[in-house]
Order: sequence, then C-alpha cells, then structure tokens
Amino acid sequence: MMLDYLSSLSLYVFLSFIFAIVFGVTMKPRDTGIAGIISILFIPISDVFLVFSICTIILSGIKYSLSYFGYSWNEQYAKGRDDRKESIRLIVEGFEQKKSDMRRSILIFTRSTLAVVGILLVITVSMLAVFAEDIAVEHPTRDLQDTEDVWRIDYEPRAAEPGSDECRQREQRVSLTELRRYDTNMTPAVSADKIDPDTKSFYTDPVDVFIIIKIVDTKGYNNSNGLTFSEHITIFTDENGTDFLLVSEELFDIRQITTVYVTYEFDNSEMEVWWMPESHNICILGTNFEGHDLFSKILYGARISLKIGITVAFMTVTLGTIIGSISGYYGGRVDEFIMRLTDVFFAVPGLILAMAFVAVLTAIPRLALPMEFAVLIPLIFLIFQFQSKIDELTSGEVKAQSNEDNSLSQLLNVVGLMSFILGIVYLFWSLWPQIPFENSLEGATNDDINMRTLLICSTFILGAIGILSVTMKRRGVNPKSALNGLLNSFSFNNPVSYLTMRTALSALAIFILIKSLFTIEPDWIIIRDFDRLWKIQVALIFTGWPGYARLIRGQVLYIREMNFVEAAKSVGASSSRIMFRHILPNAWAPLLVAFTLDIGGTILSAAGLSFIGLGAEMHSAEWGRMVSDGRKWFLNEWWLVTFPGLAIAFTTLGFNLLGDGLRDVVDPRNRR
Amino acid sequence: MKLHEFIARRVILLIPVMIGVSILTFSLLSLVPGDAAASACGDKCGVIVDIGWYEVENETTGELEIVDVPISAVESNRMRMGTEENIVEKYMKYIGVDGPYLGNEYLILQSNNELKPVHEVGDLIERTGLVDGYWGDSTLFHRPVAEVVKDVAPVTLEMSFLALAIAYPLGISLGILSAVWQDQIFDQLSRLMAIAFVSLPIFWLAILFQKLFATKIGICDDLFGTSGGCFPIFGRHDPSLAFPSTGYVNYYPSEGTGFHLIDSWFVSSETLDGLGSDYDTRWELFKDTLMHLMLPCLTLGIASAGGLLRYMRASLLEVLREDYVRTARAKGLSGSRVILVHACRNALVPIVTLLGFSIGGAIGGAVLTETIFAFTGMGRVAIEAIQYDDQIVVMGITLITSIIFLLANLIVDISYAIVDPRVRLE
Repeated sequence: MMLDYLSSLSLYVFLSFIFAIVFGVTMKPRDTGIAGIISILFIPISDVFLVFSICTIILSGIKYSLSYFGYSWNEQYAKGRDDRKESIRLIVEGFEQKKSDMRRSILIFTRSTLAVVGILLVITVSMLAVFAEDIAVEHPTRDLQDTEDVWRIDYEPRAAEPGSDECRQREQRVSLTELRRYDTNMTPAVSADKIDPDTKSFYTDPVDVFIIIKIVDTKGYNNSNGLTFSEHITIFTDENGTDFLLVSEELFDIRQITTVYVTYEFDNSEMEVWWMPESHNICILGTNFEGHDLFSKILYGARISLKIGITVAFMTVTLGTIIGSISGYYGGRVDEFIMRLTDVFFAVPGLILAMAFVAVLTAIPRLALPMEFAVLIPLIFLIFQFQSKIDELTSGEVKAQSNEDNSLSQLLNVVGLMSFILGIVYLFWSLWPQIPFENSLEGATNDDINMRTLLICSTFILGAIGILSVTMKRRGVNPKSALNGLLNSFSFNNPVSYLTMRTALSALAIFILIKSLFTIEPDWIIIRDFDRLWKIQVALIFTGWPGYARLIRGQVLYIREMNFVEAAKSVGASSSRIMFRHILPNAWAPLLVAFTLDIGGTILSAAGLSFIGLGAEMHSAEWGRMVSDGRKWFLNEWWLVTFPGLAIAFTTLGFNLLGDGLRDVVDPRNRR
Repeated sequence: MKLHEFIARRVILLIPVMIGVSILTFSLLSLVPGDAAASACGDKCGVIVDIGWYEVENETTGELEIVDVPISAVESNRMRMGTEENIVEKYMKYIGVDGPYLGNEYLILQSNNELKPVHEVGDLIERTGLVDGYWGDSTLFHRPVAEVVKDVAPVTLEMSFLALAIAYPLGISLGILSAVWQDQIFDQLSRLMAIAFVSLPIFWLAILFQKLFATKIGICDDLFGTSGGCFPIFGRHDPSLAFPSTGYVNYYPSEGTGFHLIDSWFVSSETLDGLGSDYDTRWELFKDTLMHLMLPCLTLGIASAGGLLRYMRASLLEVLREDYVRTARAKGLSGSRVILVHACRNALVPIVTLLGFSIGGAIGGAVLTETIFAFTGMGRVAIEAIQYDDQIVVMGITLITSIIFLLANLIVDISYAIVDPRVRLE
C-alpha cells in the first residue's frame, strides 16, 4: 500500500516531505512527535498530512534514539546559532558582490548603442509573447504555444490588405428558402462562426450593421427577376438594439431566388487595436486567406519561437557543458573519443544533419527512455555526490590506518564489485536482443516491473557501496571512521549551509528515483506528445551540442592549469568539487555569449525547418510556417510573407546584438 | 614536415571521421522503429516477387513432392535481411566490408517501367556496401540512392559555389572598407549590416528578392523598363527547353556532368540545333542557366557575406597593428598600397581557410533556396524523402554532404600549406 502511495507522489507531497524534515530538524523531539501524531488526524483531509506525519514521527524516533546515545540534538542546534548567522551573512554578501558586478557590467554594456538596441528588441519580443493574449485581437481556440492551437475558421476567407476597409465588412449568406420555411422575412445579422474555447463548439454573435455595401445572388449578380436586391433588403433594428436583415415582400415571393449574399459594414470593434489612430486600427497587418488576423498570429508566434529558441539553447548548453567538461577535465582517451565524436558532427552541415535527425524522428510517436536508463541517471548522480562527499570528509585523514586489514572493508569491496559487475551484465542483457533474456515487457505485470527496477536499483546501490569502499581503501580510510565523519559532518544545527544547488539537485534526484521506481510504466516518458515542433527541437539539440562541448573543453583546459585549481587539488578537493566550484564558474562567460547568439540562430533554423514543412503544422502560428503558407500569394498579397519574416528577422537580430554586447561585457579586457 | 607527409597525414586523419559519419548515419537508420522489411517495400509489399518451394512426403506413395509457395515482397525482404544478425555485423555489411548489405533492398525500376526485385536484376553481387558505391535503394524514387545522389548533388554544389563566388568579394571588400574606416559611420553601418545579414531568414530574403527583382511589379521594371523582371524565378533553365528527365531531374542530354554552367559550354551542336530558335549559341544557353542561378545565389551569398565581413574586418584590424605595417608606412608608401598589398594579403589568409566551412554553410542554406527557386537539389530531394519516410535517401545525402565538406576542407588546408609553409611545421 505504501509503495502504491509513493508512486503517486506529487509536488505537494514532496513539499510536505521537505517541510516535515525542516520541522523535524529544528524542533525538539517531543514536539516533533506530537506534531506528527496530531497531523494523523488530518489525513482524511489531504494525503499530504500522511507524508508529513510519517516523516516527523520517524525523525522524532531518530532523535530520541540519538539522545539515548548521549547526542543531544537540540543543544547542538542551539550551539549552531552563530554558524547560521555566518551562513546568512555570507549569502547576503554574495548578493551584494553580485550586485556591484552587475552594475559594472551594465555600465560596459550600455556603452554600445547596438547592444542597447538589441536588448530592447529582445525585451519587446518577450513582452509581446508574454502579453500576447492581452494585445492580440484574435485568439486561437486553445491557448497553447505549440502546434495544437486551432485558429478561427472564417467561411468567407479573403486576404485583406493591412488597414483596408474589407476588415470592417462581412459577407453574410442569407438563405431565403430557410426564411420561407420558417415564414419570417428577417434574419439576424450575425458574426462568422466562432469557436467556444470551453465547449469547443461553434457559436455566433449578433453584430451592429452600419450600412449595406452590396447584395449579390449565387451567381454574383446584383439583380435578378427584375429586382435590384439593394432595394429589397434593408437593415432593421428592433427595440433591443439587435440588427436584422429585412427582406421585402416582393423578394420573399420570388421562389426562384434561393440565396443571396449580403455584404455590409459592421462594428468590428473587437478586432480594433486600441493604440492605433481611428480608421487604421483594424487588421493592421492584414489578414491571410483563411481570414486569420496576421497581427494576432504573429504575436502568438512569438511564444512559439521564443520557447523553441530558449529550450533548445538551454538544452544544448547543458548537454555541451557536461560532455565538454568531462572531455576537458579527464583528458586522455575520453577526451580523444569525445573530440572525434564532435568532429563527426561537425563534418555534416548543421541544417542537413538536423534534417537527418528529423527524418528519423518522424517515425517516433513519443520520446521515452527505457526505465533501465531512466533509473540510472539519478542513481549515478547520487553515487557521484556521495562519493565526492566522502572524498571531502576523508581528505584530511592520515593514511596511517590504511595498513590495518579491515575485514568489513574487504567484504564491502567484494560485495560491491560483484554487484556492480552484475548490474552491468544485467544492463547488457536487457539491451542486447540477441542474448536470450526476458526483456520483453509485453504481458509483464506491475510486480514484474517493480521487481525489475528494484533489481537494477539494488545492484547499483550495492555497486555504489563497492565503489565507495574502493575509494576509501585507496584513500586509506577505514569505513568506520568514514561513517563517523559522515555522521558528524551532517551538522543539522545549521540548515542554512545546505541551501545549495547541490542539495536541491540531490533531493530532485531522490525524488525522480522514487517516482520512477514505483511506476508501472515500462518507459520513462520525457515528452508524451512528441509532435513535429518537438521533433525539430530535439533534432536541433542533438546537432547543436558539439559546439558547446568544444568551447567548454577549451575553457576547462585553460583554467585547469591555473594556480587556484592547483591549490584546490593540493588541499585534496574532489574532482567534482574542482569542476563545479572552481572551473565551471570561471568558464561561464563565453558560454553566456554563445548561449545568447544560439537563441537567435535556433529561432532562425527552427523557422527554416518549419518553412520547408518539417516543423509546425499547416496554419499554425509559427513564423516560418506563416511565411511558407503565404508564399503562394506573395506576388500580390505581399503582407502575408513580409510581416512574419520581419518578426523572425527582428527577433534574431535582437538576440545577435545582445550576444555581441554581452561579449564586450565578459571580455577580460573590459572587466577592469 | 614535407608537403607530401602533411598531405598524407591529413588524408589519414579523414578516415576516422568518415567512419564516424557512416556510423552516425547507420545508427540513425537503425533507430527508425518498425518493420524494416515492410518499410523497404512500401506499398508494394503484397507483390509476389518469387516462388519458393518445400518438400513434403506424399502420404499415399511415400515419395517426396515439391510444393511451390508464392513469396511476397515483404517475405522476400524478411528472408534477405535476416533477423538474427547483431548490430556490428549489420554495420559491417552496411559499409560493405563484410558481405552484401540487404537492409533496404527494393524493387528496382527497369527501363521498361517495370518493377523488379534487385536479385532478379542480377547486379546484386556488385552492390555490396557504402565503399563500393551501393548506398541502399530508395523506395520513393525506385532507384539506388547513389544514383539519386549523383543526380542531385551537382545542382546544390553549383548553387553553393556560385553563392560563395558572390559572398567572398562582397564580404572581403566591405570588410576592408570597414576596417580602414574603423569606427566611422560606414564602419558602424556595415557592421550593423553584417549582423543583419546573419539574422535575416534566407527563405524570407529569397521570397522578397523574387518579388523585387523578378516580377512585373518589382523594381526592375522601373529601373530598366523591362517587363517580366530582371531574373527568372523558378527552375534551372527556361521551361521551353525540353530536356530528357528522370522524373525529378533534368539533364543536358548525354554529356552531363550535372553542372549546367559547364554542360552548357560543352553541349553538342546537334543538341543545340534541337533546342529551338531562341538558343542558337552556347552562350545563350549559358546565359540562361546563369540568369536562373542569379537570384538563389544572391540570396545565399548575402547570407554568407555577413560573417565574412566581420571576420575580414577583425583580421585586417589585427594585421594593421603589426610592426611591418608601421614600417611600410614609415617608409612612405601610400596608404592604399600599404593596405592592399601589405596588410590585406596577410589578413586574407585566415579568411581563405574559412572557405571549407563556408561551403558547408552554403550547402545548408541551399536547402532553403532550392525549395523556393524550384531547383531539384539535395535539399529538396531530402525534404521529399523525409515526407515519404524514405530515410535511406536522407542518410545518403547526409553522407555525400559530409564527404564534400571534408574534401573541401582538405583541399583548403593543403593549399594553405602550400602557400604558407609555417602550417606544415605544427
């Protein structure tokens, strides 16, 4: 039951877990226990309290048992007051330092006019994207930024020129046959069909008609059977103010005329843009052949483009940084392999490689990792975290103890290595289809899957212990003293010192691990709705990382040789600590520039891929797709192509100018 | 290091990269989910392509009898591909080191418009793998991928080369002017222009050029009084020229290298006679091709020129700070001579090494311009192949672009080493 429950962990439950731990650490054990017992009463209200009470009760138990051994938690906590103050002071000081750095950077940045123009462009586009709903006059049915948005279908589509009168006009079909059937000679003037976002059904609104422009029959003539239509259809306003189209008796009696089309000018106020002068304030960028307002579509397109640009750039930076830092730091064969890999990616022009990836991805309906891999990622992360923690703790230890033959450590070595090897063998078994091993999940029950993940997990946890013990042995520390050090190092009297990225990431990794361990899914779904827009994003991520990997590798190689890294090494800092605390913080500057420039480049490539029909779907608000949709009519309807293209150009230009400005800021020559 | 040693080293260094690219395309192909045998025959899976047989014992007589069974295309594919191979063996077959690759074998289009399975055509032994020039069969075009690639690659290359021929003079000359008038108004403008060139979407620029230069309402009519624009908008040549086609690519008859600019010069006189009265001389044919290439190349060239301008400016500014430039100035040489002869020659060296990379960029950009100007090049064929799930064509095009790109870089590096012996020392 507990396992089932944990599998449905949500964010709130996770937060209550954190809250319970904070509460349990800071309060007296008795209070903690009482709080836990009281919160049991609230379990019927929300599941959140279940987690809270379990955690607090367990914590109070631990505290009591610790105090039994003579370790008073709360005394320790009271002692740590000064430490806490110091930590908070350090954080505040860090902020102050960052503030002054920022001020200087802004000074350098604003020296260049182009950079300021760039940042203004970027801010404008971002604001337009954020407030698209408020600025746009027409909206997609679903307020989604992806391809699923459905734009209004206008049944008398036309491409109206920017600011033209046609936008104020509507051609309404009046079926005289229908009027005769209901024996009424007037029909309300209504808007075109609109889609109700809630019910997803069509509805119409009454409109205020100003003047009838023209009336034609199905063949396009304005007179028939001796009647001129304009004399026989008039506007009629009833006492409620609703406008009707009134058909005269003569026209009503001529049975041969079945349908007429009435074009009238109406009060199209909901399409008016408030900040434009009168008579220019309607469809300011024109409409396309589907009757969509181009201005609104471009605004919503900003969301799509920015989302793609930032997502892809962020993911490529992350991927490239990880791979590049591994390559630069470890050097040797790893470096050689990774650099040859980047050579391969560089040997194919970017757009062509992205197309090749898209070609493969078109056949994949959803993006998912097999559970075996998904479990591995947080596990390996945690193992490394744990190892570096041990490394840190034991760095000052004297090597004298290493000669002691410790049976426990030997046992741990053997068990750990065995299970690690077992884990790897298992992994190969499950991935290599030729080896007869049950890797098919068809017909597998939940228990099977749970067993499978538990098996993997336990082997790898044992493996982790093995690695740790090997590390300890190499460092000449026996497990007992390491355990002691570990216990002492968790100073709960100063929770502020745990306010680091590392703790957050570890907690996240544990959360993901728990969530994925008790799920019944065979895969860990990364992107469930893997539509074409996602496909080009994934393709661009896969093609973009080698550039960053090389950049970071160069930086790491350069910084690795500096004195402060040497100093950190001599103190005995672990490699991950050196990497994350000393090397990467000094390598971010060119990365930031490349990141900014890459957002622009990505927007451009994504628009290009959409343009050639590999990205966004037809009629969606993606800029590249809009250019491609309007291309057929570019000879006469120039606005269909011009405005979306300008939007792409300005956004890219903004990011490029911003990147150039940032380059000046982070240039060491300017930092003095 | 001697020059030939340098060349040998560079060529040997290419091999791992080539192998890497083939692994990349192979693993991408293997990633495609679904039944490879079924996808290889597309909509023709039910076609009976073979008769198989097996022996059964006759119950009454006790003799062995042979029973015929029809084998459909998908079954045939399944038998050929095998399911027991592991991934390494499959890769070896893909590159042609170890036996024939039967991954995407397909019914081949015969000259009499009949579809026949590959093994009946009989050239199976010759087609073994990438190294032997067998890159799989296209299910969309009903032809081997290598042939498709051979047809479409020159189209893209011709466009890319000409685009660079526009981009380089433009970028370099603007870069020189920009560096000479550093921080003056021209410099500011041209730097802004360079960033703008890089930021403009190529496809949009192409469409605007079509509108501006090539239509009746464009600026050409106002400037030159012509009707119908300066340049043609679509295709590689005048549609009235009837060339034999294979469904997606038009050839200059028989003597085609695929590069129309070259082909039009060497076209035979009989062919010229058959082309109609508008094209009496080779020059007119050449001019027609060039005019059709003009707009796409201008678009591509402008997109590449932005980057070149910035590189040239930075490189020249660097060189102008050198001592020998100051010496030259001190000796009383004229400003233009110092810049053009002393500084530019040295500043140009890093720009020329960029040529290899520029070709890659231009080929990538050509994907977009081909779509707009209706050139059946690699990009357009790749897009079509993606839309019809014919991944092996896309991989073939990926391979050929990487080969072109690597070769271009190799040539540039070697010529650089010939010009500047210092490079060889490292």
